[in-house]
This record gives sequence, C-alpha cells and structure tokens, in this order.
Amino acid sequence: MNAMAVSPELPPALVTRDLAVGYRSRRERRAVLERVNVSVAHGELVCLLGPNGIGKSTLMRTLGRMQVPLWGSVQLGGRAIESLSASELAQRLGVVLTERVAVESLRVRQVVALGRYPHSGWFGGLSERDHEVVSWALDAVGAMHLADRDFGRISDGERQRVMVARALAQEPVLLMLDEPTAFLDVPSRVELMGLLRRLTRESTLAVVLSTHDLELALRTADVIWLLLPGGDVVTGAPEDVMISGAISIAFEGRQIRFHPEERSFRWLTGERGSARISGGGLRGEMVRAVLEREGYACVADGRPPRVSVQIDDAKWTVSADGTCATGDTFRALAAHVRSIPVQKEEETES
Amino acid sequence: MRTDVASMHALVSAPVAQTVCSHARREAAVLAGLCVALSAAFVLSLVLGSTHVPIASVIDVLLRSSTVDESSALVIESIRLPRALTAVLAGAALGIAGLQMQTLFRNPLADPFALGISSGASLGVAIVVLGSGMSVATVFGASTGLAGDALLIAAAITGALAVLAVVLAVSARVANPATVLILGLMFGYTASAIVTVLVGISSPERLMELARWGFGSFSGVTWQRLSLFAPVTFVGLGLAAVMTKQLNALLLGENYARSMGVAVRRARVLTMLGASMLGAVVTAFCGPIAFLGIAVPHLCRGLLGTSNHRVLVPAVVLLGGVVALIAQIVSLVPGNAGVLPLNAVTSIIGAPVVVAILLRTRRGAFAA
Amino acid sequence: MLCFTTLVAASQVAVTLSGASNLTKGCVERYDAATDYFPDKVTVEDAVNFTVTYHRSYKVVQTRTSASNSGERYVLVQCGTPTPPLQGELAGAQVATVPIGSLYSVSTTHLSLLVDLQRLDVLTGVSTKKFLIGDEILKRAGSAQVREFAAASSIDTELVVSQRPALFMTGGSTSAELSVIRQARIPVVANHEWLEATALARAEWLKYMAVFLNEERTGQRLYADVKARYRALSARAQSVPDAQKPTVMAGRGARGEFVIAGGRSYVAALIHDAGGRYVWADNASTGSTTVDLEAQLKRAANADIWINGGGWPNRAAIVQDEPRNKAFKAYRTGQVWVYERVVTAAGANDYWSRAVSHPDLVLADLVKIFHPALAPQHEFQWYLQVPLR
Repeated sequence: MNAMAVSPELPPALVTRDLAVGYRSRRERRAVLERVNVSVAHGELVCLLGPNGIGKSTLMRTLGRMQVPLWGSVQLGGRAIESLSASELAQRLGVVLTERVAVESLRVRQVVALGRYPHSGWFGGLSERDHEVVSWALDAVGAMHLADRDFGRISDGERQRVMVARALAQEPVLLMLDEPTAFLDVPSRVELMGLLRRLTRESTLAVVLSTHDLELALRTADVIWLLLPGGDVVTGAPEDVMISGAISIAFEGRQIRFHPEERSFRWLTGERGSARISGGGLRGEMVRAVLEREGYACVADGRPPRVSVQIDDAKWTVSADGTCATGDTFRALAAHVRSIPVQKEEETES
Repeated sequence: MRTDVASMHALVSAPVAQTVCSHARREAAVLAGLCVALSAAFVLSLVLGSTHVPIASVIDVLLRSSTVDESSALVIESIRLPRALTAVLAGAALGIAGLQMQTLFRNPLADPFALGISSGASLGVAIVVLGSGMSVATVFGASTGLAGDALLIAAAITGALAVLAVVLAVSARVANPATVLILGLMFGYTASAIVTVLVGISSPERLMELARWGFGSFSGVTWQRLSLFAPVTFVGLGLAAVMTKQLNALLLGENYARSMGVAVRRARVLTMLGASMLGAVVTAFCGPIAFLGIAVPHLCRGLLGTSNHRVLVPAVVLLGGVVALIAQIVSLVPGNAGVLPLNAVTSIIGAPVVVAILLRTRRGAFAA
Repeated sequence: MLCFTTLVAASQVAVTLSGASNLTKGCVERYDAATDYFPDKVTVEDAVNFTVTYHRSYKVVQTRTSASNSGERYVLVQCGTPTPPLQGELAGAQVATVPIGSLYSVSTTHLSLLVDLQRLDVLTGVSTKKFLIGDEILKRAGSAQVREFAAASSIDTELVVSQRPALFMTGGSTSAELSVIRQARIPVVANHEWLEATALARAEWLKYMAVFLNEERTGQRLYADVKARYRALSARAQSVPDAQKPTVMAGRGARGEFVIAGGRSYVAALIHDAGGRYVWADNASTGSTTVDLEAQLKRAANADIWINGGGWPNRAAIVQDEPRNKAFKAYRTGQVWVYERVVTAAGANDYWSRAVSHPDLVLADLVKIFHPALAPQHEFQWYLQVPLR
C-alpha cells in the first residue's frame, strides 16, 4: 500500500470560518473561543492542546455538531455541517469519546458493525460490502484477533481501538477523538497514537484529536492547535508552535519550564545552589537529573559551584563544603546530596 | 477514503461467514427451542384448567370437528383459548416493553412501569372503583357498586396516558435519561399516594374489588376485548421491531448513538411511548402484572449470550409468551380451592431469576 | 274518680310487685334483692352465636364469632339496681344499663330490628344517613334527635363520646375508634347476625336487640311468628317431588372468576328450604367464595334459575358485564332474579335492611320464584326478574 501524500487537489476535510464557540442561555451568550479559523487537510493528524477549562471540549463538540456555534461556520467534506442530515453527518464524521462504554454480551465484531449504522438498511441488515468494511476496519486497527471476543471483557486499550474501528467503519472523512487516551496506560497510549498516525499516512483520513499528553502529541502530530488563555488559537507544525514560545505561555507554571529541545518540561530548580558535573554520557545526564531534582542548578562554568560531582565508570564522587563522599547508586547520591546543609547566603541561579 | 477501502479489502483474508457461524448457530437453536416451548405451553394451557376436559376434546375443538360435546367446547372456546392468547400477547408485550426500557435507560432494573405508567393506571382504576362508586352504582343500578369492566379499562388507560403525557413533556426538556427515570418514579409515588388516600375513605367491598383488580388476571379478556387488545399490542410490538437498529446503537450510549446518525431525541420519545403504551394496555386489560417486564429480557440475554436486538426482540416475544403461560398454569395449582393471584406467581418466578442473573454477571449488564 | 285512679295505681303497683313484665322504660325506684326484674325472658333456639343468662337484677349476654372463639360478654344491669361485682366469669365484661334510653348503631340492618320492635325512639345515632331506607327509619333519622357519626366513613369519636349514648352497637368489626369509645365508658356491643349459617338464626338476633331494650316479650312473640310461617312454607316447598325442584345458581362473575354463595351459607339453606336444588350444595364454605368461571359453567350451565347476581337493570347489562354469561341457560330463558325491587337513588337496598329479620318473607319470595303455584297470594318484597329491556 503506497503512502499517500497530502493531496493539494482535495479540498480540506474540515474548515472553520470565524467560528465562535461557547454557551448560550436565555439571557446571555458567553463565548469561550472566538475568531477560530482552522482547517484540517486530508491525511493530516491534528492534535488539540490546551490547559484545562480553556474550551477544548467545547470546540470539539461544536465541530462535531453536538453543540451549536455562537457564530461562524464549519464545513465538513465541503459542506456546511448544519445542512447535513444526521445520517450524512455520520457518513462524514466518526467520533471516539473518552467515556468507557460498558456493554456486555456484544461481540467486538458486532460493536464495529454498529459503525455501519448510517449505511445499513432498515433493520440494521448488513450487506456483503458492509461486512467487508467491518473486517477492513478491524484489520486497520489491528484488532482482527479480537473479533469474536466479548467487548465487555477486553482491556481498556483494546476497547478504545475497537471504538476507533467502529468509527472507521462509518467510512468517514474525518475522525474526531476527544481525549481518547485519558484512561489508558502508557503502552496503550503510544499504540493508539501510532495507529492514528498510520491511518492518516496510509489513507486520506483526517484526524483531530484532543489530548493532555503533550509530549506524545508534539512527537506524533502533523499540526498542533494550541488554545491559549485569552481565547487565541495558535496553529502550526509542532516545531513551529514550540519555537514560538506559545507552549510556554500556555502551560508554564511557577515550578516548570518547557524545553523545546527536549520537547518536555523540566522543574524550575536551583534554589539550593549551583552544581558542576565532570564526566558526560548517559551517567552524566542521570546525575544532572538527580541534582536538579534535589534543587541544584547545573552550570558549566562561572562562579564556583556549591557542589561538585565527579563521575567515573561506576562511581560518583561529591565534594561540597570541603567534604567528600562517594558511592555507586543514584539513590545514595540523592540521599547524600539531600543531606548537604542549605547555604545561608542565597545564590539564586535559574 | 472510499478508494482506499476498495484496495484495502484485498488485504483482508479472513472470511466473514465462518467466524460468526457458531454464534449464529446458538442463536438459531435458542429461537427454535423457544418456538417449540411456546407451542407446548400454549397447548398445555388449553388442556389444563380448573375443570377436567379430556385432551381428545381439546383437539376436537381446535380442529373444529362436530363430535365435540358442548360444555367442553364452551370451556375451551370461551374461556381457555382467549385466556391463552391474552397470556401470550401480554407476556410478549411486557417483555418487549421491559427490553426497550432497559436499553434506553441502560439500566438492568428498568421495567415497563419505570415511568410511573402502572401507577397512573392504578390511579385511574382506583378513582373509578373507590371514588366515584356512588355514581357508578346509580349508572349500573348495582347495590354492590361494582364497576363495569369496560369502564375500568378506559379508566386504566386514561390514567396511564395522563402520567405518560407529563413524563414525555418533561423529558423533551431534559437531556439526561436518568432524570426522566427519577421523574417517572416520583409520578409513580404521587399516584400511589392518591390511591392510598382514596383507600382510606372507602368501604371494605370496594377495597376488595380494587385488590382483586390488583392481583392481575388473563382470564378477564374475552374475545370481544381481545379484538381491541390484540391490535394495540401488535402496534407496540411492531414499533419495537422497527426500532431495532436504533436500540442496538443506543447500547453504546446516547453520545455514541448520536454520532452514528441516530436521531436520539426522537428515538427516546418513540421508545418511551412504545414501551409505555404496551405496559399501559396490558395493565388496563389484565391488571398490573409484575416482573415479566424485568425478568424476560434478562433471561433472553442469558440464553442467547448477546445483546443484539435483532435476535433479542423475537426471542423476548417468544419467551415472554412462554413465561406468561407458565405463570397462568401455575396460578391454577390450588385447583378447587381457587386461583393464586397472577401477580404472586410472576413475582415468585421473577424475583429469583432477577437475583440469579444480577449475581451471575459480576459487572452487571450496563455497569458504568 | 279518686277511687278509679287508686285502682289503677294499685294495679300498677301490683303488676310491678308481681313482676309480670320487664320495665321497658324508666328505672326501678326501690331495689329489692329478692325480686326477679326480668319475668320476660328470651330463649335462644336457632342462633348459635349468642346466649343470654338471667339473674334477678342483671342479665349476662355472651357472644362469640365462631365455635372456637370465646367472644365477648356483656352485663346488662336493670336500671335502679346495683351492679354486681365483676369477678370470676364477669371479670372484664362491659356493663350496660337496661333498658337503654339511647342507641348509636353502626349497621343499617339493625335499624330494621328497631322498627320490628317498634322502638325507633331509642335511636339517636346512625353511621351515615345516605344509605338509609324505609319510611319510618328515614323519618326518625331525619329528626333532630338523631346524629350522623360516620359520615366520612370513619367514626367521629369526639361526637360519640360527647353525646354519650347508652349503647353503641357495631356489626362485629373492630377498629381503633371503638377502643376509644369503650375507654370513655360507653358500652360497645357487637351484633354480628351475619355470621349465622341459616336465615332463621340470623333473624333470631331480633331477640338480641330486644334484650337491651327489655322488650323480650315482643321479641319472643315476633320471632315465634316468623319461625312458624317460615317452617310451614318450607315444609310445603320441600314436599314437592325432587324432579320438580328447579336447579338454582347464585352469584356473579367478573374477570374470569365467579363469586358464589358457599354450600353451607344461609343463601344455600334458603334455596334448599324454598324447594330448590343449589348447584353448589356440596361446597363447604359458609360465606361467599370465588370459583373459576370454568367450574361455574360446568356446574351451572344448565341451572334453571339464577338468583342474587348483580344490580342489572336489564338483560343486556348481564352480558355487558361478562359476555360469557350468555352460556348460562338461566340467562337465555330469562330466569334471572335479583333483589333490587326496593332501592333508593343513593344506592341503599331494602334487602339489606328488612330482609334479615323477615326470612319468612324472603322464603316466600323464593318460593314464588321456584314454585309459583305454592305462593299465589304473596307479593314480591325484594326480588324481581331482570327485565328484557
């Protein structure tokens, strides 16, 4: 199967124009996000990021027509979503939610077959083509071996994969997932993201996915939509967003700092002083991590450090305040470093 | 997307037919078994009764042969046959109504009367029997004040529909189905409270009359009433059959169902309407009958091993009829000393079944 | 003139001293322990649920509800005489003073007894005026002296206790209100004639009422007359050859069941005494009981006469109630008889009022239905044939 590049001839799978989302009550209209102009091309994997309460779910729900936009428009597969019937919408948009579906006594294949709802006949009768699509969907998510298992008895990770298969069976243009990995363990999360990336690479399927798993999203997504406090939306490739410093604005708190080069957060540290490490490699990195955790900022040069650590093959040696100690496990290192008395004079280093 | 699917099908080698074969075989076997059971129970309910009628006479009557003796023919034709048909219809109706409610509310304990329908029917009947007994007596010229059955039926339906109308009106404004259930429960309590007040100011004879209605009975439905009961029941059953697809989708919850194209609000209203209509009509003609609505769907799920409504709906219809006929037969056990109240029998059968099922499925059918 | 009054006075004193009859009004002026104040006594012949034992200045009435039940005991003390010590057998018994001057009656049946004894004057309270029937009763109840104490179906204890009737007579039921009344020292006595198994025994409870009024003489006489007439007519009816006795069914069907009179009930006894054959004569129940419609059809599909069904105004109503009623021969031949001849718009039926103490008339009605030739002069008191239209 050849990977299909994002084709410029195809119109975008999803495009919004001046969209505003929020809540409408009898007395007022409260916009959570305004002037949202985003689009998703075929074959793109978009991750929606942002701190809690900022409106990720509201935006997702509005894009999925589970909520009415305050103003602006949303086009799905070239048509305005308000103009689609429920069946037409289901043939264009497949949804996977966070909630854990608990049904006993349905086989996995039957759950996936429910995805043929917008295509099947009056009583839910499935044609041969419907069966083919179901089998293909199961295969695409790698759940063919689960086909005859009871849906209620498979693991959470497997269950989410089956729900993706069900959404795929709708043969949608766009797949929308609302925090699908929230209840999954780390290997399952990685698997699910890998599956989604593979699907977008191998077909024209577009995927929009909201998640809290920042690092996985930055690694896997083609496009990031980052919601900032204040209602702005920053879009771009993950690297664009990271360089722009928007992630720092969105997520940094008093104790953490985003490091784009590592695509991750680190504790703000150095309240106990500075440290210098001699010796590199992996062990050097590990020692640095321990020191930072214990509150020492690692510097290469400059003022004399409070603590000095020397790394040999299997041992570390710590000198501070004229004392010396040595050991081989990192646990011992941490314990020793912790026992160094805090200096009265503050040498703040960030 | 569609072009991709076409080319990807070539990759899929597992033939579809084989993997579903064993399950389909089990389902077919169960359905066939239920058909046999229903026929057997039907015949048994014609043969057994409080008087002795030889089996040969039963056969003669069914074959409409001319050699049958008159009194046996009378008993079979005017008493046992309509009673058996009523039992089958009522059992099917209650089972289907219970199935719909359990799926819609994703609650294994939901029954056809969870929306307070049967309390509404009881209220209607109580008002007629207890409250207006005065004017009824003059209308019918009866010194004992017993109301005509036709009036009772009309009162039951009116009461049920009144409660249903209020519940539907409220549910149209309320997003969460669980809220509707609780509302139904509250209406049920209100109706029961009013009945209690009426009971407090009534005479013993009227109370006996009301109590007797509350026992539930399939014997009161004559051919004449069957001609009204049957069509309404068929409409309700038909509605449920037509909603099979939506019910299956609703198994995943309303959010997912909506995303797959189900018109959720309309499905909710139609299902509640259909289920309540079935429950109301059975209550009106046969009195309130407990437990069939809860137990039969669970029994079917256990037998078939699936929640798929395409096979569950016919199974519930069949098993509902079987269980109702069995309850009818069991209620005749005391023989000459009288009949056991039907509700007592259905409860004695139903309660252990529900307990066994809930204990067996550790997580419960709709555990969240 | 003086001579005459002296003579009258003297004769009265003589009568009093000789104890020739019970004092039906007023109290004894001077108590004499040696006098028997109850020269008129009742003897209970047919009723089994009450007995009366006489002592010189008081009577002891014992009621029971069944053979195994000991029931209640009442001590009726002649007004003006001392109450005997309530020890031994009499411990815990309620005490009433006779003859009573006022009476509150729960059951409308008992009002008819007062009519028979011509002592409606003692009636001062009825449970509800809605269901009363009978000219004399209505007139008395309408008067200012009679109060309504259970208009809303539960007894207004405050009214009863404040009015302090000399006697409160129930139909045998118990309730919390009655204990309140009893605690207020108003004697509450039970008159459950309906527990008797024959019509005559029920009628004999006329004497029960008479005992409280000191009207034993009248009571004995009336009952003796009724019994004699009953017996005579019954003998004639039973002497009819069996083949000519009609088969009779009694009761009413609803919802696949049929409520019948038990084989040992008073209705069954009446049917037998009136020269009929009751289809359920072998049934053991002494009251009403329910049978399956099938069983009823088997027994009674060919019964000649159907009595005591419902209050049907015409034959169409019979099948409207329960379409399978047309399987009964009695329906098809029009031989359906109900006791709805004398009813009020409010729903009161004279059968439940007057018939209890006049079983001879009930019997005559039934004989006229079963064997019209035996009672040509009799006019139907309660029964009428359900008309075609």
